[in-house]
Amino acid sequence: MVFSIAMRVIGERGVAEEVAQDVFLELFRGADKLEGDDHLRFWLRKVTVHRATDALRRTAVRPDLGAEEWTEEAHSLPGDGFDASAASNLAIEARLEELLLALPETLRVPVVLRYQEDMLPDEIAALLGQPLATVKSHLQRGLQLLRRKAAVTMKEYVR
Amino acid sequence: MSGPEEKFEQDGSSAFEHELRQAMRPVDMRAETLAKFMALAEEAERTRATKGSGPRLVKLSDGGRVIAFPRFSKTPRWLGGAIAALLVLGVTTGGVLHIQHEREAARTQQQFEAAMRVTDRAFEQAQQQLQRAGLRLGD
Repeated sequence: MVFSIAMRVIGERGVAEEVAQDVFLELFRGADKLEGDDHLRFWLRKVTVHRATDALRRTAVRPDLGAEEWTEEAHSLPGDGFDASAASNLAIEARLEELLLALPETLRVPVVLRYQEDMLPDEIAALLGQPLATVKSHLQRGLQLLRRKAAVTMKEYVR
Repeated sequence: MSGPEEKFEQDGSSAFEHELRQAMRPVDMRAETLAKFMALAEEAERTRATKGSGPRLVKLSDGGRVIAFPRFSKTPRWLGGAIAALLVLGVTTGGVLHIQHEREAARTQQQFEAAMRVTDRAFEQAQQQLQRAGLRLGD
């Protein structure tokens, strides 16, 4: 969980490992303050996201395309006609990981929490300290951008 | 009729979202990095537990002096009291306290062992918590 979040937010294995190490060191120092599994998970996710976004800004790992550039690529959404079964799942997954890293940080973090951690929008809002409407908006926008980009770059997989 | 947003809020289960979830399976930290990390964590805990732990000579109001050891943040109160009681044995009043090298070495060893117990407890506690939550280091 910790390393996976860091890896998908940062996109660079070495930095993500450093972040994961920092988070676990902090856990070892403060484990006695955490009560229950839910509190532990919440704490780990929150600290990891904060550390990862800090590291992302420090290392200047930036998305290769801005949100504006994405929206200019006006393509129809693949919708539910997206047929992954006809293609190599591994190739699709690898490409989706790349596309995720091209999302702006503000959209990438909630998308990671939603689709990797399977968190609900209200849980993400609580973790990020953001209004629920903001989180929903970021999730919707992030998903739309990913789908549009996927439609362009994975034509062979999208019907 | 529901728009994309409404659909997203309702189920979040389109084929694309399913594919996205599949792509976001947990990834593991490299085994060698995890091993290095565990060594680093142990060392960090050891350093933290013994930080500034050198014995200090404290002057008492009656002119006596006592050797004081800093209390470990996670050391139980009773352990601090036990160490203090041992130290009292070394107090002399009205004069300069002379510390035998052997006794000092023994105390240093005692302190180190106490620090190591703190380290073990911290690790055990954190790891037990992770285990209970179904989590593991490195993912």
